[in-house]
Amino acid sequence: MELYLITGFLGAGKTTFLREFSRQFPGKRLWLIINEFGKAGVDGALLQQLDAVLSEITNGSIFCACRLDKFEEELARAAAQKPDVILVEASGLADPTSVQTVLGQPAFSAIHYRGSVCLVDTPRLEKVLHTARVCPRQLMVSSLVLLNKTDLATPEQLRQAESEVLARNPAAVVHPTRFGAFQPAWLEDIRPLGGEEEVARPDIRLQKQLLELDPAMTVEQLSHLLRMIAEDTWRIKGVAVLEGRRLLVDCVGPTVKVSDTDVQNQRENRLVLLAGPGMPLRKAVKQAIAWYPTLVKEVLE
Amino acid sequence: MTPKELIFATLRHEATPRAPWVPFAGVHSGILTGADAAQVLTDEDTLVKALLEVNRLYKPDGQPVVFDLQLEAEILGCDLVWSKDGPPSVSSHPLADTMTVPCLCTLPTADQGRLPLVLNAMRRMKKEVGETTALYGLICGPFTLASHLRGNDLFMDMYDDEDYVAQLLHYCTECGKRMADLFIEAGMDVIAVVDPLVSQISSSHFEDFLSEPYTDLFSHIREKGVFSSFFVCGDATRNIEVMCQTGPDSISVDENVDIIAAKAVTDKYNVAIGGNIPLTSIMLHGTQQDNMKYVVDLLAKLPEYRNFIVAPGCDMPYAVPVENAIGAAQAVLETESVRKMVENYVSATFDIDVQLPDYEHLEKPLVEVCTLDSTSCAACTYMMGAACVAKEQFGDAIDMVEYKFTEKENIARFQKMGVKSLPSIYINGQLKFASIIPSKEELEQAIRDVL
Amino acid sequence: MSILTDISENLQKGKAKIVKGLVQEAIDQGIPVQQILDEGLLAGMNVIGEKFKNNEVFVPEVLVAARAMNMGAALLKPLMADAGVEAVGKVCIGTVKGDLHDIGKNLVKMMMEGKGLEVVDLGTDVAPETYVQTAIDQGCQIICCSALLTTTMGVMEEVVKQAESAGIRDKVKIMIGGAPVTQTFCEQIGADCYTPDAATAADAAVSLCKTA
Repeated sequence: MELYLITGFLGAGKTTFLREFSRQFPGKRLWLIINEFGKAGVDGALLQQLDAVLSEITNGSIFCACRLDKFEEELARAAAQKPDVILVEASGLADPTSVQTVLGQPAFSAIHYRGSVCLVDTPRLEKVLHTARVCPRQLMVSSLVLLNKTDLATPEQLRQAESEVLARNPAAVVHPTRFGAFQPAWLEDIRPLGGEEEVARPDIRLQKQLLELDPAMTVEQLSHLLRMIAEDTWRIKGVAVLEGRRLLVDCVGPTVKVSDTDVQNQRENRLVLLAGPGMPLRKAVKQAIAWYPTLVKEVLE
Repeated sequence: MTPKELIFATLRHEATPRAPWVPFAGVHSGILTGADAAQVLTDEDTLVKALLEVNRLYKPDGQPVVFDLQLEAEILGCDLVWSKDGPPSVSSHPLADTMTVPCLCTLPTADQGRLPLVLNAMRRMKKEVGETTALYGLICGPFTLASHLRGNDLFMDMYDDEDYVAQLLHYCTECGKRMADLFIEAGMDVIAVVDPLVSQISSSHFEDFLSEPYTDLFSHIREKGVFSSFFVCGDATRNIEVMCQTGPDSISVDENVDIIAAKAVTDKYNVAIGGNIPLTSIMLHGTQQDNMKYVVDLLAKLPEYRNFIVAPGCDMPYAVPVENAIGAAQAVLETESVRKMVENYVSATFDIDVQLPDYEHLEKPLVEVCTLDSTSCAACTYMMGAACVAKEQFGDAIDMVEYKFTEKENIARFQKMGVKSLPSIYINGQLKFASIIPSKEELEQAIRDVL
Repeated sequence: MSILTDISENLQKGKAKIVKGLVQEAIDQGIPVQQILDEGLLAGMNVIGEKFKNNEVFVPEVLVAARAMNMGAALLKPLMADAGVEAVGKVCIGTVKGDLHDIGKNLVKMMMEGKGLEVVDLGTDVAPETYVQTAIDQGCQIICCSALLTTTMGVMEEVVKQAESAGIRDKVKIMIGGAPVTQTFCEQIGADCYTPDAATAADAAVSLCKTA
């Protein structure tokens, strides 16, 4: 069994990449382990087409670098079925070195770790690199770093991103790409790098907030709500069913994106908001609730 | 009854033959072995060695393993500034500019920060002295932890965003439970929740924000089958009652609280109370006499030994003279004889005329061992033991004599000699060793120097 | 005048926004700046100071009241020079070197401002020479040192010595405070004044400035 790790910060395009990447293994039995947050991007039709099984790490683990117990559980389940290839999409906030620690356990000796690919949101790298502690660590362990979203980046941002990546991981092979596109030749560039694990201190400044939308909300109100909050988040995601439409909310940083979708496997009308150090998420949410007191409500876990 | 059972009986609120003694020797323990505060808190062997010395010299019935309220904060991302003569201070507050309630998945685990060394030290102490000494695991109280994480804005939040404070305190309480679980697993008999900042808020704020978390925390500790204590520093007089209502087995206060008056309140709730030897004026700057007197006077105010523990007001300053702690220990362990010493010291000493030897013209070296009482005071026993070994070594080449403070005449002698700390060893009238027991080599060398 | 009483009462409750609104209203009504300050803001802070001294209110109450005072005072500040309002005196304050505790120091600062003193806040971990240099540069009549640790209170003696060697000892008063500090210690190191709590410190500072 081979295992590839896909890492990258929130909103770097890991899920889209996963769809592309999983096509690189025709004829092989795939097992995808992804986090709850990425689930919306992988639908049943794709899985059928790929001969792939999907398992997800639930229970808020998207947020937690530390829900390794859940990861171990899923990995053991996957390993028992002996697929040819296991693809793991790490949480955008996860420290990938901890994943490698799990793989080092004797129980998983049948799994051959092939290496890690790191996706980078090229225009936003500069910003997240300095606010999120996990970001440099994701770069460090990955032999292949893909500078994604180059369609949104200026040439200067692209050059900048490349030098930031190489400064943190001189051994990395760096390729620009867009929409998570993957070239078969790049498979050669994926190899295990020994990322020494430090017992990382948890980052208590990572913020998570759940919002429940009332079905009476209009699409217009939803996008107004998102515009109020998005700037103070790294990521907002969820499926809203409003005015008879099924909508995928998928915001990265201040960019608000709402599109029609047929994703079924998500809890409806619940948004997950993630933010980091220094971002006034709590205030923004309070403000939004004050604006739409009957339509939006905070969900406490 | 072992010392440990004495603590347990007190925490079960039973009457006891004497009051138990819990010296809060945190960083101070280092002074017994020549380690500084930072070394004690960052090196397992140094810590265990120092704690064993506390156990040997101060004869505690109960003993904290580490007194560092910054342990959790460090793991959760606070920067610390280290000091050689005190516990570290928190210098940054991760939530100061990020008003969020951390995910419960960030609660400390056994492999983080200094926990591995602390947990190992606990296990080693349990093995070494845990049979007879009650071991205290100290956790940072939720309110103080919240202020470490959030900074002083926490006080404003109590007005601006009460929900936030409640949620953050919930997180900090869960952190306390996690720490308690780890400490209990490592063998701690008593979990002390230390929350100095509780003295800085009103009792109605305590009730609004802390009653529920604390009740929850103490019942968690009780369910785990160990005892609990609630430590507070500063003038917490008004909060003693609401603290009792959260259900700890005991409370510990410092000199800002009138402990006898507070005991009337704690008795009402059948909660034990501990304290309150003043840290600065008595323990740090006072004499050995002052320490003995404070303790015997304190004990004299009790109608019976029940629900009462003698302890310093809080974590002992690093530089507390060792003899002061020895004096306090002796006063708890041998209250009656120390009471007499103190009386004699105060009254009768000036009537007795003592002749000191002519130190300048001695025939052979004279080793004088000054003790509180080598049969009952541990440090004195060791000091006397060291002298006896030397006497055997040198035989008739030296003279050796013990002077016990229990005798009136010796009180006068000590005053004349200028003896300030007990136990101590004088050679030819010169102070050579005070409080800290010399090694065999050190003592022999000192004697050879005058032979 | 009831609006000034309103200011005082809302300040005591820590209602910063209301205080700000009322101060603006008082200015618009043409009430003299000095009077708004004295009978509104400082009067309210005085009550808080007394209650703090008597253990009727505690740290959180003082902090929110002081915040309300500051919001009101910010509106008055630009008008004060024109109105000829002068500070009662000038103080520099800080927690001594090696000590990071700032709650007590902040309380003293707020209480002093509540008495109309101008306060230069040097923060925590302040070196003795910084106090002295600030006093010289800014013309402070009082140097105010806080220490919460038995291991750092010794720095206060250094401050006294530095002030002597800088030749300003006869021009500045040195006040000290903090949990382990006592009157005996104050006399021992040759400082001028020790107070056990923040409100008393502010009162003492005012009288020291008057006699200076």
